[in-house]
Amino acid sequence: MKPSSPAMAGEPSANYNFAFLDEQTKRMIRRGLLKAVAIPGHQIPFGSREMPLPYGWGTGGIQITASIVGPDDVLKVIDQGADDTTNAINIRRFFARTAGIATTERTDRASIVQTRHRVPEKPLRAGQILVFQVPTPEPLRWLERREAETRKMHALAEYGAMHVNLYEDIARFGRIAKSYDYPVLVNGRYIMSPSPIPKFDNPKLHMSPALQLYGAGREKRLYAVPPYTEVKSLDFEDHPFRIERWTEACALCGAGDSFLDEVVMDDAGGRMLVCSDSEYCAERRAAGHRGKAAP
Amino acid sequence: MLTAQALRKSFTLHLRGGVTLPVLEGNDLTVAAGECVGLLGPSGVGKSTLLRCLYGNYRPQAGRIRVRHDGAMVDLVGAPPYLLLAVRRRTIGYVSQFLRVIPRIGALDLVIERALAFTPSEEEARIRAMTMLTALNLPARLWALPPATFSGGEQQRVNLARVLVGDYPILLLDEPTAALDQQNRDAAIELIGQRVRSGAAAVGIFHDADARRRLTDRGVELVPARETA
Amino acid sequence: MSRVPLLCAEGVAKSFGARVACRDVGFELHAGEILGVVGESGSGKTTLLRCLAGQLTPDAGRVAYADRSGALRDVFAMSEAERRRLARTEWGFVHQNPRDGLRMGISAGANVGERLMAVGWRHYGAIRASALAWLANVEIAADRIDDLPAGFSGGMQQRLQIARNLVSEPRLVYMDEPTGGLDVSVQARLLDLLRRLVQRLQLASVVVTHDLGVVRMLCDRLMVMQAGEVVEEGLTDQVLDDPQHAYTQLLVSSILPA
Repeated sequence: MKPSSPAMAGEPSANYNFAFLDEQTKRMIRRGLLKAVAIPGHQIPFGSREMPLPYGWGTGGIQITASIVGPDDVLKVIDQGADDTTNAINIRRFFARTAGIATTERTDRASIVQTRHRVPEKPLRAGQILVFQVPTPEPLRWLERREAETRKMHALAEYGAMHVNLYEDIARFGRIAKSYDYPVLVNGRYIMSPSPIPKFDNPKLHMSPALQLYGAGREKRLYAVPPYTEVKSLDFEDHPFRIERWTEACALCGAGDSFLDEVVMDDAGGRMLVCSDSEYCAERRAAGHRGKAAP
Repeated sequence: MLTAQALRKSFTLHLRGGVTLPVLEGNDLTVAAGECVGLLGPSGVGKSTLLRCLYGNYRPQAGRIRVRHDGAMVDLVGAPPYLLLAVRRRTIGYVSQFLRVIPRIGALDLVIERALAFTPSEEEARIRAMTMLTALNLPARLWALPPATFSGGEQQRVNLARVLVGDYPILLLDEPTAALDQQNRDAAIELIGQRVRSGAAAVGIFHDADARRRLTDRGVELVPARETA
Repeated sequence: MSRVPLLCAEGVAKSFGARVACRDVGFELHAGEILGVVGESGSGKTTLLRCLAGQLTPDAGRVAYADRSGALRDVFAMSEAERRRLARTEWGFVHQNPRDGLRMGISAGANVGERLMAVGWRHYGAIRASALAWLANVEIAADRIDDLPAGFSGGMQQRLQIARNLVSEPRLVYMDEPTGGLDVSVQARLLDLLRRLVQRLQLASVVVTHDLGVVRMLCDRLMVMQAGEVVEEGLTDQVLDDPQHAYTQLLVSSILPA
C-alpha cells in the first residue's frame, strides 16, 4: 500500500494522487470498511465523494477499490460477467492510469475483482477481495420508505416483512419470481442486498473464502461479508430457495453449470444462450470444449 | 343473599340549573334465599330506582349493597367494574321493565348468550334457551329474529327468558308480567315461582295484584325521600 | 377479592407545549373487558390511546401491561424492541383510517399474513390458509385475497385492517374511532362483526370514539373525557342511564333514543 513503491504496469499519472482519491478520504473509507467487516451485512454510512463518472456507473465500488488498492495489486473488473464491456474497460483503465497497477481478465490472477451484477464462475480463494457495485443497498426500502424506520427494523432484527415480498411472488406467480438482488440473511443477523447479481450467484456468497465488500456511491453506504461467513437466501419451508437452471448448455463452450445470457443473433428472432462470464467461456473454449454453435 | 343498607340516591340535573332530586333516602332491605320480596309504595317513591341500584345500574351516593357472589359477600357500591360485571354474569338476573338489547341479534341467540354463563357447552346452552322460550310460549318462528320488531308482550318474554334461562341466585324483577296476557302471565309466574322455590332470592315490583299474591312472601314499603334542597 | 389486571394506567399525562392533551388518567383493564373512551374531538382521547399503546411517551404517569407470563411490566421501562414485539404480537391497533393501518401496496392476503411472518412463520401454505380463514372471519370473499386493498371499499378496508390485527391472536386491541368515516349501514355491519370477534376471542380493548352508539354496542365500561381529563367513568349502562357529570349529561341528552 506504499504509493511510492514501484508499479507493475507503468507509472501512475503525476497529476493525480495514487488511485485518484486523496489519502484522507481513503482512510475514512477504510475505517468504514473495517466496521463493515466487523458487523457482517450491516450498512455503514460513508462520505461518498464526487467521482469523474456519474452515479450508477459504479462510483461506490470504485471508491472502495481506490481505498484498498496498493501498487502490488492486480485488478480485474467485470460488468454483467464480461471483461470487455465499456464500463469494465473504463474502470480498469482508470485504475491503470491513476494507480499504475496491473490489470487482468483472469480471476485466479487478480487480487481484487470489482464487479457489477455477477460473481465469477471460477471459485475465489482466500486472500482475494470481491468489490460489488451497489445501486440500492437497503433491502427493506421497497417496503418502508422511511430511512429512520428501516434502520430501526435492522437494529431490532424485525425482518418478518421481508417475507411478505416473497409471499407476494408465490401468490402471484406460484413461485418466488425474484431472480436478482435476492435478499440474504448474513451471519444469522442482518438482511442484506447482495446487489443486483442473479440469484444463481447467491450460493457463491455463502462461506466464500474471499472477502466481499459492497459500495453504494449515490446512497453513501458500505457493507461487507468477511470470508467464511454464512449467507442464507430467504425462502419458505414449502418454497425453498432455488437457483436458475437451463435446459440448454452454453452454445459456445458447452458448459452446463454456468449462468447463461440470451443473445439475439439476427432480425429473424434467432438467439442463442451463452455464458455470461466471458472469462470462463473463453478458458473452456481454449481447453477444447465446444458448444453446439461453436465454429 | 342480599342486603341493602342506608341507600341514598339523588339525581342532579346539571342541564336544569343543577337542581337535585332526592329519590332514595335511608332505605334498608334484606332478602334471604328462597324468598320473594315485593317493593310497595306509590309511584315515584323510588321502587325502580332501588332495583336499578341493586343491579348496579344506578350509582347510589351512600349506603351499602352486599350480595353473596361466588360464596362470599361483596359490596356492589364502589365495586370495581370487573367484579360488578361478574356479579351480573352469574349472580344477579335483572328483568327490566322494557327489553333493552343489542340490535340485530336474534331472540334465541340473545337467550343463548346468557345461558353460556352457566354452562360451558354451547349445545346445552342452546337447548336450555329453546326450552325456556318454549315454556314462555314465544312462537318458534320469531326465534331467529331480532326482538326490535316484536310486540311488547313478545319482547317481555324474551326479557324473562334471558334471566330465567340462567341459575341466577338473585332475581330483580321490575314489573315482569305487566305486558303479558293472562295465559303467558301464568307461565311466567310459574317459572319465577320455580326459581324461588329452588332457592333464588327475589325482589320485585308487581303492580299486578295476582302476580304479587302468588309470588311474594312479604312486602316492603318504601318511604319517600324528603326534599332537602 | 382482586386479580391482576391486563393493563394498568396511573396518572398518565401528556402535553404538547402548553397544550394539555391528557392529564392524570388512570384505570385498570381486565382480560376480556372493553373500555370505551368518549369525549368530543380534541379532548385528548387519541393522545391517551397512543400513550397506552406505547407509541407516545407520556410526560408523567405509568402504563403497565401483564404479558402472558402474568407479571405487570412498565411499558416504558421495556426496551423498544420488546415494546414493538408486544405491539405486533399481544396487541393490536386499529386506526380510524385504514390506510394508516394497512400496507396499501401489497395484497390483502399479505397484509393479513405479515404478522405471522413477523413472528417466524415460514410455511407459505400455512400462512396462506390462515390468511384465508381470517378473510372469512371478517367477511371478505376468498377470491379477493390477492387483490390490493386500494381497490376495496372503506368498510372492506377496515375489516381487512381488523383481520391484519387479530391474526396474531392479540389479547389487547386499541381502536381509534374504528367506525369513523363509514356509512351508517356499513358501520352497523362492522360493529356487529367487531362485537362477535371480541366476544369469541375474549379480547380486551380500549376503544376511542365519539359515537355513543359504538359504545352501547361494544363496551362494557366507559370513560368520559373533557379537556384532557376523565370526568366520569363506570359501566356503560351506569354512565348512559345515570350520567352524573354535567358534560356527560349533555353528551347523553344529545343522542336520539334508539
